[in-house]
Amino acid sequence: MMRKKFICMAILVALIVTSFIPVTAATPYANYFLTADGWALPTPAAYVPDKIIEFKTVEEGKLKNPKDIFIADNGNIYIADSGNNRIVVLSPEYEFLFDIKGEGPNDPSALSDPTCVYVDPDGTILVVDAGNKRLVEFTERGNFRYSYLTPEDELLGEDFSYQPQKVIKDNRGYIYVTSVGEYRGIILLGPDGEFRNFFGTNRVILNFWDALARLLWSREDRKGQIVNLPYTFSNIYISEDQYVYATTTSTTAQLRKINFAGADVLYDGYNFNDSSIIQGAGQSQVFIDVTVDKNNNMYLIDSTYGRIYLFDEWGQNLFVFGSLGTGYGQYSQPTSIEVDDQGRVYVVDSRTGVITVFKPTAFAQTVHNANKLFSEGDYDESYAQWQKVLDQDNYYRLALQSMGTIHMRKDEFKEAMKLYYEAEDPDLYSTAFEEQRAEFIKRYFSIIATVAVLLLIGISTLVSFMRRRRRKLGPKPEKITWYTPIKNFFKRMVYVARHPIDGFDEIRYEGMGYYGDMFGIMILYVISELLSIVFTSFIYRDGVSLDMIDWGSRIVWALMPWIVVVIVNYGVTTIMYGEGRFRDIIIGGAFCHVPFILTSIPLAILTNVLGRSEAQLFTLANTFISIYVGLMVYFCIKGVHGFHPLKGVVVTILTAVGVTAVSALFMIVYGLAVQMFDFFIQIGKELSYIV
Amino acid sequence: MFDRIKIPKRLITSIIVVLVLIIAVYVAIKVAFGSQHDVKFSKDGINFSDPAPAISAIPNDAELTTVEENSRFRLEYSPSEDLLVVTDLKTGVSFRSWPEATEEEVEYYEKNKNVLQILKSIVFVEYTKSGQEGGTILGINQVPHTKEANKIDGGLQIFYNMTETGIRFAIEFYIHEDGLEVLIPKNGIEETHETAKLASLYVLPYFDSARQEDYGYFVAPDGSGALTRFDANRITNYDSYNKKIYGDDMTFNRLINPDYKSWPITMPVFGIVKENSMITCYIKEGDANASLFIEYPGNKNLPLYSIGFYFRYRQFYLTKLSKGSADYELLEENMTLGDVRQKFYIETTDEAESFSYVDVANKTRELLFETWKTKYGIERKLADNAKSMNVRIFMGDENRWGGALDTLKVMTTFDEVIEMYEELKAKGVEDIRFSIAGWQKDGYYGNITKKFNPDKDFGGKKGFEKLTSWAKENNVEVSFDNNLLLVYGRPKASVPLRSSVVKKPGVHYLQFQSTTSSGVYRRGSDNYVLSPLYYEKKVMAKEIQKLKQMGAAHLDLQQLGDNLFTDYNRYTALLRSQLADKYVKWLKEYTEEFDTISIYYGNSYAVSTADKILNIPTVRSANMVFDETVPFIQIVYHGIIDYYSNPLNNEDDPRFALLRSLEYGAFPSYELTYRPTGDLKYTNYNRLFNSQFSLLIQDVVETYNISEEVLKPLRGEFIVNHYRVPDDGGKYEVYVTEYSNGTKIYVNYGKIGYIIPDTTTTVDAMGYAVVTA
Repeated sequence: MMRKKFICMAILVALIVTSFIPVTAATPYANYFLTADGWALPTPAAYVPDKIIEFKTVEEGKLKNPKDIFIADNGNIYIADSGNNRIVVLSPEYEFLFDIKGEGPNDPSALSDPTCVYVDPDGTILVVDAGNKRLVEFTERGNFRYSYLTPEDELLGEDFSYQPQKVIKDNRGYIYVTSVGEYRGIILLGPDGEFRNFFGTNRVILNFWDALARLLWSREDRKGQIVNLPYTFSNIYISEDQYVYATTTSTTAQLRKINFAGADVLYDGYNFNDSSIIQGAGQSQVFIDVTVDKNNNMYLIDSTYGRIYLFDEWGQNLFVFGSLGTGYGQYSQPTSIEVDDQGRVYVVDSRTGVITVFKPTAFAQTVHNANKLFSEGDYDESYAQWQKVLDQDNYYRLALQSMGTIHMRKDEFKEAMKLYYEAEDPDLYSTAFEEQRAEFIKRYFSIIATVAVLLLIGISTLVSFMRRRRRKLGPKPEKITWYTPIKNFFKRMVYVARHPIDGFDEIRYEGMGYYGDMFGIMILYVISELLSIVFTSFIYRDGVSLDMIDWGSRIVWALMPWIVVVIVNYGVTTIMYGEGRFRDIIIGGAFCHVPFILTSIPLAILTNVLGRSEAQLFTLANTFISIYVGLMVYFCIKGVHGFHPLKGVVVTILTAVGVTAVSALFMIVYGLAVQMFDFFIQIGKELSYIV
Repeated sequence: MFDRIKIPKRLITSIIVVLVLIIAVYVAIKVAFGSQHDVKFSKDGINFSDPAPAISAIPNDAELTTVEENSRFRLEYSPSEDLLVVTDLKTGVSFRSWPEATEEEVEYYEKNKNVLQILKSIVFVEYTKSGQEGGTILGINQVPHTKEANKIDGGLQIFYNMTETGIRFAIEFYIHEDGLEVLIPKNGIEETHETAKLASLYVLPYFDSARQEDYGYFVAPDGSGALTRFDANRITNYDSYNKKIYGDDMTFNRLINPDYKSWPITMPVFGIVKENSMITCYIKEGDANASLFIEYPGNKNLPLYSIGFYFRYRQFYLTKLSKGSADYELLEENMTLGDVRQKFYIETTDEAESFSYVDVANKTRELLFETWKTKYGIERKLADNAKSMNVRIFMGDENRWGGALDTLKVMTTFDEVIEMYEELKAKGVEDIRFSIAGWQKDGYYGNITKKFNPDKDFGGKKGFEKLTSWAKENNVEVSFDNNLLLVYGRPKASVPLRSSVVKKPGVHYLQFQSTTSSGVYRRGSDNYVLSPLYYEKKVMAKEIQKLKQMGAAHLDLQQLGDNLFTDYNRYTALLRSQLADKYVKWLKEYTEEFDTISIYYGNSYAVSTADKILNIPTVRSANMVFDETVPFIQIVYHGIIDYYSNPLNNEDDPRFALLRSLEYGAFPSYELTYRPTGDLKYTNYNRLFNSQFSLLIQDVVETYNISEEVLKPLRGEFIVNHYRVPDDGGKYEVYVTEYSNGTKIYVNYGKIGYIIPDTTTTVDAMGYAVVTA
């Protein structure tokens, strides 16, 4: 056996071609990183194509439909050359060492469609022999040692179909196998090859209607319906710290990082879809493989666009690069990704049978180095490295965040706030802000306290003086000036807000409200809504830059509820014998916005002294205002239409239902109208070809 | 007897109503959707020749016979073997339309007759039988045909008649004192069946082809220039190379995703360099519709490298009937190409390896001069002076969404431009040019149909005028970037969409898509292209007047050197070749009105008239067919036009880019903003990651000093040699550029220093050295 391997080596050594890609070529893909909100921002190239490894024709020919690549601890490269039914082993310098394949069907080494190869730190090679539905263990030199056949266990059930695809082994000797269509999880085998359990079981993801059906109907009633099964695993990898990384067939939970107990860590529920691509190009992504480097950075590859995503161990996106294509540094059908201890990334292309090697640029090396130093706690050196990163990419988010954190550790909160602000990270900004605020209060407490007390005394003195004066002199005689109508308008606004029961009654029966009031209120409402966005602090704006706010749509959305509610309510109350005229409803509806006008700007200003930890205070205030407005709507309906309080409740609920129905109907009608319009255009174009 | 037949009034009324309705529907459809049947292209600048009269016929069973001979070359043709041979009488070196097969190959061809048919085809034909299905590309020998060879005055003529499709055409081969000329006379092309249409022709596909073991290479003007070495290790199973001269035509763009690997071709030329011969193939007519085609061993199951030009008479395009429907591939209705004329300039020698790509470039320069003179009446001369560096100042762009009150992100104002110059001047940087980009209304991607006046946020018209008068007083070259044709968004109301923007064949407006930072097209981009004829008639004069009034003396004009397309709008129909001629005409007008005019990237027709080239490519495409990047276009242009690199600060590796600039003789460029780069994050101009002036000023000063010291003295000199020094087993990566005054620039991209032989000068790793004569 051994002799044969060395003969093979002699033939093949000269036949592996590594094409060096000159550094002169620009990268044939976009280079960018993703912000927490999914924005793609450009970076200098992080990885550049370095080499292409191709096997020239001999015996079975070049790599044929290769499905997996694995780099062992000693740097040797193992490739599952599925189409040629063999495992190929290369040295770290890409020289052919040997291959593993049998001599005829009776040879236990004979492989059929090997889909995965895993190598233990001790050199033991574990191969998924998919065509023979087994796992095969080989010695370090490629000699057959053991074959793990289909596991048997009651838990697996009678209709268990074993189609192993990918395999890994942990440092306890437990083997993890993914099997095609196995939705119950990763098959966990003991060191003896016996079935132990399912690992990292997936959950069924229900959509709204499925969840509703489950709630309303019993299992019996739901018989015959399509059964929703959990997604299955498509690829797995085990990192040095024994976390299992697994890609799934799901379009929403594409990757899971699972600890030894089978629980998700960090990435559970994280949607890895690159929204910056999907919004542009439309097609959803399929993540087909994952690998992890020595610093626990994660490399994820997508087969739809050929993008490679790098995340650090905290889940921050570092870089994105790569694309499908036929040029140097591109691939047509990526199937597997691996990284070696020098940080070079290997991508296997099953269609062309070549392996593309990417090497990190100086920029990427600086980022990795800075990040490593940061996680090791060497902050001074890390800071210098991050500064180098910023010199090349002025808004690289991770650099800004890390440098901010280093300032935080030195109690330099102001500098930290500045960097967090630039990084558009409201959470970290909030922590720095709170520290800075505490320091400010500590330093100026006596002054702040004195000013506050003086202000209180001043205000109360002024109020009591005014009261006394009014008691003594009586109310001021009403003088009519140019601003009297404005004053009265504000008086009416506040009156209705303070006395909604009487107020709405008066609108209907005493003609209190005017169309002018309505316009005035709604204009004020829109202005206050927009200003409140401007005045809201960076933290409470969730880090969204003012540059990103679409003011036009904000205005539309501010007015939309009023218009829809008024129309629906008019419809509902026409059937329910309401007494209110359309005029009353629309004016009354406008008055319901007054609490927002009065409170939104002060609340927004207030956010500038609040941190994230006081968010409940802000939420509470907003909830209170919303409840108050809700009550006003109720009183408006009741008062304007002269309903009994109970009937008012019924009509309010019906209005809410109506608003939902109208919204849904609008969506349907809009969709149909677009299609109908497109249909006419299509007919027109077809006719234009004829005439 | 003949009683009057009484026609009921109602019937007449009904008929009239129906007729009116039919006419109304017809008009509505025509107006709303149009059709390419109505599009009539003018014949300006296109030649339509008849096939030359035959002197005598050559029988189809004839063996290799001499057709024509002059003092330098002999042309032989064998109809029975489909073989064409050109022999240089001086050296005896022959060039065959297909190479003589080796013993091994003979055996292979015996078994694979179809491959032999391909190899022996003197022409490849792309056609469609129904006009609907995709084009079929076949060697002429693979389709049923008859041929008729004639001796004509000065050469050979072959008539082909594809019997199944009724497509007929003639090809003529002429021998001159400097090589072989191929002519496809337009009037010789006939289509006798109603639906079968000719799409393209590719003459002499295997002329002077090469094998893997041969010495030599192909030279392609891809990007800065690229070599395909015959003896290189090559990754197989990849597509052949096929690229349009002068870049893609937006009107026929079929890409699903943006192509990051590709750099356009700027010249209608390629070269074949072999042990003792060199061919420079140059297109004299039909360049705007040509594509360069390169194949390597394995393609079409042939063991050969081959190179040549496809000439496209019609182009395929994708169209859809409705937003949701699938794309249909259709072929242009009418042919859009006249005569085709390409020439193989042949040089041979008895000494081995005496030619290189530098010789091909020198020949190309000579040919370009000739074309510019005969076609445009221009004798190109180097400008009197040029600045050592180009600093592009980016003024601003609109946020993609939102932005409080004003969506424009101001990156630099006109006053700040002056401030930046003063700061640089204080550090000794004086001899530079400023290129002001994005100064118009709403910034860089502002709608050009409302681009004047300069945006008030940058300082408005007053700020602009202040800058231009300051520039004049201080003798500073301040140039203004000007987008002539790309409309970002819809044209404003006063510009009628129907008659002012470019259309694709059929019914659709050309709406080009912008690219996201993540490398995909932005869906639903609503961008248009102003019809060149509309621009010429309605906009250009006003624009020139306005810019002059505001004091602009220098302009950087977009599109003229980097974007060629076809306009299928019936009101403004224009072919690609005609647009190239228009661009030259416009350039002449602009150069008369302004001090200097620069173009971007640098298609050769525009170089004829422009004063400078900005963003000249210094890389090549990532196609597997190429092995080396060379400064081919720089060798052509150095000494006849000044050219500037892409901004160094926005390159992946600025140091590498600087060295490349020095190697290629390109004055360096920077792209700067006064404000922080991050402000551009949410604009469409989010391609910069390091542009803030205050952070880069030191780099600018250092690079400027290098440029002044190294490149400025070489202005006006030709590059006479360029090569890589022996690498000593991969140890060195050092390139040498040699100029006509004897100066040599050494550039070392490697990791260790290199000592220049016979000197004590060391070129540091990632460094350079200048050796003067």
